[in-house]
Amino acid sequence: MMRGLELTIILASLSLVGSFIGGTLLAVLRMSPWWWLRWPAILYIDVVRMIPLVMVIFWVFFLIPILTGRPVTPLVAALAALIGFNSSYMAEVVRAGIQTVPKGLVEAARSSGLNHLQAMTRIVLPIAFKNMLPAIVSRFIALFMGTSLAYIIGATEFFRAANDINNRVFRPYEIYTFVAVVYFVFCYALSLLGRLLEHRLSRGQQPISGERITSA
Amino acid sequence: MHQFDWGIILQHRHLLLEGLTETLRLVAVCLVISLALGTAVGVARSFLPTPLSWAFAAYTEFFRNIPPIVQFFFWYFGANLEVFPAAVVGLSVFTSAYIGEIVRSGIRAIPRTQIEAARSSGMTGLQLIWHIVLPQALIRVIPPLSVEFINVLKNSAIAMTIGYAELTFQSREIEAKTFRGFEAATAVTGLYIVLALGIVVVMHLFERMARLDIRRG
Repeated sequence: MMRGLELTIILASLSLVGSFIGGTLLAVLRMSPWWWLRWPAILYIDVVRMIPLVMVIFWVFFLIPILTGRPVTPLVAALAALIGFNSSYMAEVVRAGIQTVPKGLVEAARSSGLNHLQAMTRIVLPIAFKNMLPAIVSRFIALFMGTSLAYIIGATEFFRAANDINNRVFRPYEIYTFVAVVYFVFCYALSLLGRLLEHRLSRGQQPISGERITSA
Repeated sequence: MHQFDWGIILQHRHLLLEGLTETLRLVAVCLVISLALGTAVGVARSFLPTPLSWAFAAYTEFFRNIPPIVQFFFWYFGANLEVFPAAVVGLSVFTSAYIGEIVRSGIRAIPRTQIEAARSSGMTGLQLIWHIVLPQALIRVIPPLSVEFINVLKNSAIAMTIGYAELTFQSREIEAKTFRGFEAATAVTGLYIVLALGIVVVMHLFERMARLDIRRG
């Protein structure tokens, strides 16, 4: 079960990094002045947000072998699904973050001789990132909970590990209560961290709220 | 190269239809219960005196920080409920924690002066909540509510793990029969998108109707 918990944390962390990269890419595409870049990004973001994560996991699990012609391990499939799924949510976080950066600052960066890409990577994104932190913590919580769904394709994360034990000793009440408490402790601690960050940042800046008003 | 065979979807449309019916049944029941429960939690957190409102804060924090699949398993295997009740309780309680937060944010947006005015005109606490606070709060939060309603639809897919025969479950059935997992998953994904769009459209119409109603007075 400890190994399972470890795997859950690793899976959630890797997905967070992956989906941050994916989300940033999508957000930049979405804000692009060219419609042929903007439209596919909008389509991806909006469509993925309407599909259950369970479905995305199955889908990726079947899609990767078709694309590569080789079977895929549950872990890789789960990681790919979590990244693909969460990127669309992260894109909106990044976009909101970029919009907190005052336009004047971007113009100042441009007029001091930086090109668009330099202004983005050196000025806008670092400031935006700070403001995004509370919302990123919320996404991490969603991912942490989402990893439990990797269970369905057989990845031995925490929830699956707990189930395997239950199949041996058959004490469902105790085991699922314990599992619930462990998830609660992790996610609640993270949400406190998110709130703390938001409180700190709200002095003088406008962080994107990490308020977890919806699930998934 | 992989050969697609989309014919299997037509062949197994009765399974998909069954799954669709079950998904709709679960989602409809859960929407009603979680909206009622969530509104009650949101109101309780906003108006009850401190020690009592803490109890509802604890409810919110507890149920929204546990993955839905764990809650489903708890109610089904741990508490020994039947499949459908376990799915309903698991999904409704999880969702109500979020809806409670949404409703609370809606209530916070109502100017204090209105509540004071209602009080001084002689309304009791419940009258005030029912006639003044809730109508305004709920209209304000329709957009986040529709996002949460879509989440109910999405999270209903998790009920397959305890053997509830909804859409995702049926896509697995088709996969088991035909080994056409990709086609089945694609078809079901399409159905989810249509359902989610349906929720968006209905909620949008509802919001417009509600706002027109207000303007007419």
